[in-house]
Amino acid sequence: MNDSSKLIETANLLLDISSLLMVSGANTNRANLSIDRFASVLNCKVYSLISHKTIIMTLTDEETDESCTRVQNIPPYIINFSVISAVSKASWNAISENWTLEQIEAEIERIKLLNRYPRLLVLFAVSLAGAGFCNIFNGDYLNMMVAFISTFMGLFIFQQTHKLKYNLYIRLFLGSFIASVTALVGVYFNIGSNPQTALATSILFLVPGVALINSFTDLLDNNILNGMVRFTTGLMTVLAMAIGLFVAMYLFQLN
Amino acid sequence: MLEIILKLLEVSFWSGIAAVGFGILFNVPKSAVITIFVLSFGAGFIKFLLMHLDVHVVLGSFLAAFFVAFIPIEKRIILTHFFSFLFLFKTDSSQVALVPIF
Repeated sequence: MNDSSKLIETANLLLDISSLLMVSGANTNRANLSIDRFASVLNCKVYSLISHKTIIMTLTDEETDESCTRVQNIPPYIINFSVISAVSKASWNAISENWTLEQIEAEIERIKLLNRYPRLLVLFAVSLAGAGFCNIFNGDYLNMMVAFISTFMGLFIFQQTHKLKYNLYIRLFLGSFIASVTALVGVYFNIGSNPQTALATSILFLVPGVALINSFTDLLDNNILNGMVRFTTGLMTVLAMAIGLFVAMYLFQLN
Repeated sequence: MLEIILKLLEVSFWSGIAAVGFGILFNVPKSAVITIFVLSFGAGFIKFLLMHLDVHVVLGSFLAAFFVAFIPIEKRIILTHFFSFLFLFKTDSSQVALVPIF
C-alpha cells in the first residue's frame, strides 16, 4: 500500500470513529479528543469540522506532509454509551500500546458489533423507571402500576415506529400520545390516590436529556453551532411530546 | 421519625431504579449499572432529605447533582484513564431522578 492510499484509509477510519461517537451521543469535544488520540498514534495531524449531520476532516501525515480531505455524513443518532466508553478505552490503549492502523480498525469493528440490551429488558427497565418516578412524585402503588403500563405502551410504540422508519418527531408524538392516553384511562377511572402523577411521569422516557446535556457541554466548549443545534433538537423533542400529551388530554376533555 | 426515614429510603430506592432504567435505555456498560443505582440512590436521598428540611427544591437538586458529579471526579483522580470515562455516563444517568416535573 502506498502512502497516499494509507492516508486515505486512515482518514476514512478516523471519520468512521468520529461518526460512531456522534451517533452514540458523545459531545463534540469528546469526538475531537478521541480522533486526536488515534491520529497521534498513527503519526498524523487531524483538522476536523464536526456538524450535526456531516463531518469534514483533513488529515496530514507528519512524516511526508501529505494531506487528504474527506467528508462523511452522520447517520441517524442512536444513543449508545457502551460504544462511547469502548472507543475511549480503545484510544487510550492505542496510545499506551502504540497500535497499528489494522489493530485500530479491528477494534472499531469489534465495538460496532457490541450488543445492546434485549428489547424486552429495555421495555421492562424503562417502564420500571417510569413507575419509580411516579413513586418519587407522591404516586401510590396503583399509580405506579398505571405509570408502568403507560410507559411500556409508549416505549413499545416508539420502538415499533422506529422499525418502520417513521420520522423522529412523528415517533415522539405517537409515543407521547399512546403513553398519555393509557395514563388518562387511570385518571378517567380515578385509579390510585394521585392519578395525575402517573400521567405526568408516563412520558418522561422521551425527555431529551442527552441532547440537552450535550448541548450545554458543547456551548461550554465553544462549539456554539453544535450546541445550538442540539438545543433546538431538544426543544423540538419537547414540543412533539407536548403535542402528544395535549391531544390526549384534549380527547379526554381534561384541563 | 422512623416513618420519615423509611419514606426517604423508599424514594431514594426508586430514584436508583429510575436511573438504572434510563441507563439501560442508553445502553450503558453492564459494569456501570450498580454504580448508577448507588449514585442515584445517594442523590435522591440528599434531594428529598433537604426538601424535607424545607430547603428549596432548586438548592436541593443542585446539591444532589453536585454529589453525583463530585463522587466520579474524586474517583477519576484516583483511577486511571481507562475507568474515568465510564463514570461520565454514570453521572448522566444518575441525574435523571432529579428531573423537575412538578
